[in-house]
Amino acid sequence: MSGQPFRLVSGGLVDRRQSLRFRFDGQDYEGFAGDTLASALLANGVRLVGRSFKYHRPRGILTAGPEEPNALVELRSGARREPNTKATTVELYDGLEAASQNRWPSLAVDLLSLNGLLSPLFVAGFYYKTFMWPAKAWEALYEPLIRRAAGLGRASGEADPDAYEKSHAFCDVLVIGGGRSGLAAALAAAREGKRVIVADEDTRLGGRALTRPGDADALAAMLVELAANPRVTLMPRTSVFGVYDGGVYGALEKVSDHLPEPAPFTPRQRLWKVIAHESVLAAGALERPIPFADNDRPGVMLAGAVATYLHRFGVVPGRRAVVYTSTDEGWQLAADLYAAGVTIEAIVDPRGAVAEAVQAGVVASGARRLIGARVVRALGGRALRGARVVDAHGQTVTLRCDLLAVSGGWTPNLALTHHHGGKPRWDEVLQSFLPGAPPPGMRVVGRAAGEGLAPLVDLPAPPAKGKSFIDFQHDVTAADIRLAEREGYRSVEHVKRYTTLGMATDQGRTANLNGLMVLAEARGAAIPDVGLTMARPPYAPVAIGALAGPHRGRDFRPTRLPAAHGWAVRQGAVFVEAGQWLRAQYFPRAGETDWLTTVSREVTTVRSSVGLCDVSTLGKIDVQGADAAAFLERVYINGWASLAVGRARYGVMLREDGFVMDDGTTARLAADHFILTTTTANAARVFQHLEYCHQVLWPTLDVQLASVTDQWAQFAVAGPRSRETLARLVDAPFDLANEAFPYMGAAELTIGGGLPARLFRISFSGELAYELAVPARYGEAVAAAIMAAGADFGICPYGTEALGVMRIEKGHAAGAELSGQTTATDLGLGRMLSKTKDFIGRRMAERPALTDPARPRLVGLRPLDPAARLRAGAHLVALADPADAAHDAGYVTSVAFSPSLGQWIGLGLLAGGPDRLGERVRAVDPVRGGPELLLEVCAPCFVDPEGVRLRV
Amino acid sequence: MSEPLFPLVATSPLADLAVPGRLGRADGPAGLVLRERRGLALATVIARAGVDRLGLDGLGLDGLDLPDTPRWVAAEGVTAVWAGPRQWLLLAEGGTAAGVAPGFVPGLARALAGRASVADQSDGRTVLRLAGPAARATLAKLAGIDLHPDVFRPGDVVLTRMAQLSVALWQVADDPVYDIACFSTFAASLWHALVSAGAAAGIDVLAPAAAGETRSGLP
Repeated sequence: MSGQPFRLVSGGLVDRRQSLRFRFDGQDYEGFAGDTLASALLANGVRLVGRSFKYHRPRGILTAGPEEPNALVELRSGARREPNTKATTVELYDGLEAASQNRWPSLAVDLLSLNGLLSPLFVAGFYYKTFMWPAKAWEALYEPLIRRAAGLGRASGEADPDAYEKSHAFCDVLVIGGGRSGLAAALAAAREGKRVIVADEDTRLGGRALTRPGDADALAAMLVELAANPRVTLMPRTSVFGVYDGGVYGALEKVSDHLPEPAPFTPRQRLWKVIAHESVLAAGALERPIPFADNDRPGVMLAGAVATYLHRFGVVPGRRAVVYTSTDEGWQLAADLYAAGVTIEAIVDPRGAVAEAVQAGVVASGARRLIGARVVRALGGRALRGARVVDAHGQTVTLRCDLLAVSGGWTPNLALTHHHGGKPRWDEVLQSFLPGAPPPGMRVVGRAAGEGLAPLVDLPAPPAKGKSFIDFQHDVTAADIRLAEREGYRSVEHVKRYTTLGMATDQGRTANLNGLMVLAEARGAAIPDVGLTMARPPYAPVAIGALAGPHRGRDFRPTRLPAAHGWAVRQGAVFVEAGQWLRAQYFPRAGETDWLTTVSREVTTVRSSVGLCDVSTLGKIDVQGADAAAFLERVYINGWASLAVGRARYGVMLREDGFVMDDGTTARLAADHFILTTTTANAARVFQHLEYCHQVLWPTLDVQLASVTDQWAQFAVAGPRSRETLARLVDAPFDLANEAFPYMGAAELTIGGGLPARLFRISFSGELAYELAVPARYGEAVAAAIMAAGADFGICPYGTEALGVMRIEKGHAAGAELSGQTTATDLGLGRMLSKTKDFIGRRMAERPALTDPARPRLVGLRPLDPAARLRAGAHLVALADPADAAHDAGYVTSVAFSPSLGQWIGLGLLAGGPDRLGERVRAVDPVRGGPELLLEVCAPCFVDPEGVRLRV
Repeated sequence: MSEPLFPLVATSPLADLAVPGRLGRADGPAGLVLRERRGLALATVIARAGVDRLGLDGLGLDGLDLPDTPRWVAAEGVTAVWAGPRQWLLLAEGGTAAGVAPGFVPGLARALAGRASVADQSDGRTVLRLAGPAARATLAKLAGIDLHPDVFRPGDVVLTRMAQLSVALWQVADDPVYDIACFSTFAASLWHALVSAGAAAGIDVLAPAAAGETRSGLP
């Protein structure tokens, strides 16, 4: 016990048989199971715990709960170091390590406390006033300086090693706050058979009853009944931090924060989305400090907190106490402290009169009773030494004490009632704000509703001299608020933002009412006329890690794998993320040292022999129904009714606004059955668009849509030897001859001895090519079979890079050109726009700005210097024009090194492009720098412009 | 014209993942039992315009009254899961781990010609079966759906999001036993999410059973 000089021999809810070792600022201490870090520090006589945000003033422990503004520490070490942790909410565990923060070189000797001497500079709005000029100095000088001087703890700077989880819970009644009122409401609901959740941020349920020994039995009985009810879920260590629409509540469960590290497979914290039919807010009340000069000295504490340390933790936070209270409860505390062996120097009560019965309790202590008196200044530096009091007669009295317990009365904890914008209402009797219009479904009970609270009395105004702190965490004083008011900040919301009052991690729980009081006094207005600032989620700090939950790193979003992914892995592919897909980018071979060598070899192989590319990622939509063709007529710009069964056609879709949405090839498998393909990137959007068209625009059409992207593994087999390759796979009697299965043919057939498949003679590469679709489970096997079939021809697999090179060589528009800002005409597809039917986007595409011939339109671009490397994103400028924004004529959308041409080529959007073929333009790259290039504008097709190879 | 160049072997997207064994917490009984239902024949069935009541009697499935609310029904080894207004996911057992019940989907398409559109999804959807005392708590981490027995019971179906993925979830038995159908190309991601969420409870991964073996739920 000698190690804990301020611990009582008995009493409280700590387990004195279970001793826990912990370390604070390098010093070893002991506490007990059931302690918080704050109670254990106080038990050991540690009262100086931190330095303040701006002035680096010594700070101690003000409260015993999550409203704590002062006792912020860095908890744990290494990657788990967590700054700005409230010592009052940290459950003590064996081996706990904590350190004070925002001090240099040490807590006792903090050289930056010199900031306090500069305090005239650091007044409200000081950033705005002091660091206005010169603007350049802000980033270089002022900001680093301020960040060093004014601050909180340090983040670890390392990746968080712990896991976080999200979960959902549903109930009839969510009870927020596990004190007696909350538990009573939970019991009532449970007895009606309702599903009930009780959430409380404390480690134990019971709320204030935990600090009142007389309540223990009743509390235990309630908890036993609730715990025995299977429809009741008790959630300690869980703070409800937000109320959202539709009965949704956000809650954070601190699953493992009370352990040195989480157990295996267990998250550190769990974010709950609770969906409740109704909620009961039983958040209790908050104690109001009474401001006076130097009211932040370590040893000045809220009276209710002193009661908590005494009754719940068996700790007396001082030897010689002054109680400064405007409530009868404070007098009771004085009696309790005296009973615990504390010398009571005095009770100071600003009220004009205190009932004899109330005073009777402290007579035995022999304490001075200074009624109608006020504390004007706390004395001491790193520890409280006394208090200066002005008594009812105006005489100054100096009291000696190491503990000053302060209570300005209790006000309802309203924060969650504001989350839907509901304003509180002023209660004349209690002289306090009560819940006004809580969110729908929320009922407020107990002290949060004002039940059982004593009316507040007017407090003495903070003295004009000295620093009377209103918001301890942000170092906002009464003088700051008065100054803000003088400078014209009259609205409480403006004062909050200008002074940062109530904007710290404690959300100003101990600050807001006193801030109002000072502002009201400065404005000469009544508190209800000044109003209360609106509290917003989160009620308590929520780590970003908890909001992310398991969705971080490679789990940030789901990964979509084509059926033949395993095959590509075995082929040594390098992969690239394409939206959610992981696609093979290229397939390097031994001896190939850079990607360009590999990609050029893949392109050359396709153009000279045959290659294989997994194109399963293209969206595939099954369109059936008697009106399927009519439906396609309306969503595509070109015609579909005339498409024969067994044929495919390239189609373009517009958005309602007339710009191109997507393109792809669609095949007709039967009179009433099409298979539509989309680009990889737009698959989900196109499906959504088609569903919208069907369900909302034309519900009477007989059309059925099904996404079959996952059903089929699809492979492009491209190159002059592709027919010979496939001939080794398809089953008789299917005939691959050009006449029997011409360009743009589509067929259902079997391969490999009976496997149902679909074959399309379509080409993205510009070569003789096919796309073979098979049920996805055979994707890996069929990819291997195609490779075996093409082995004699030197077949190689190719990835998205070679695919891109060949489509640029052919001038096919893709992602960079389908940018959402291009029209069909811009892309050279204007002739596809049907004149004989209506389709989505038709009218809007006729707007003058969309048909302006001077619009940037698709062209091919070829550097005059064949060795020059063209870069996508470079801007195009006419030879005679200056390279500035006013003369910007377009930009390079896609580039590739063309092995077929032996040089870099590009596609671009150039103003009036198709009319400028043969013209020379400049490519300029002002953002990235680099030399200007001279380019020749050409038709956007560099290889086989007549398309002969497609049709052989 | 062709002779097999290569054996056409089927591969599940979970081939490397759904490997029998214990995952997560190693001690004590597993809270979660997980297996892939392989070998199911699956099809999306969407009623054509003007068809008010779609019967499957032509398939010898007279007892299968397609639900028009989020429910599932089963008869003769065929399960019909509501998949949206006027559409269903049909699952037919009787396949093997290597191949689906042969002929089911083409037969379905023939029998329903003109009355419904049928799209084969035997390879497009992956179905997982989930059981064990921690099944509800595990699913609560992934889906915002109230699975309390008062609310969600055997026979109930929900189309929802799980770990950012679109899934169909239905309850098979009281114990509880659930099935989850997801897009096959996302199956590995869903598997990973389920295993992460259930790790604390301990997971028994069972051999991917052919559908016929799992009709009465997991052991």
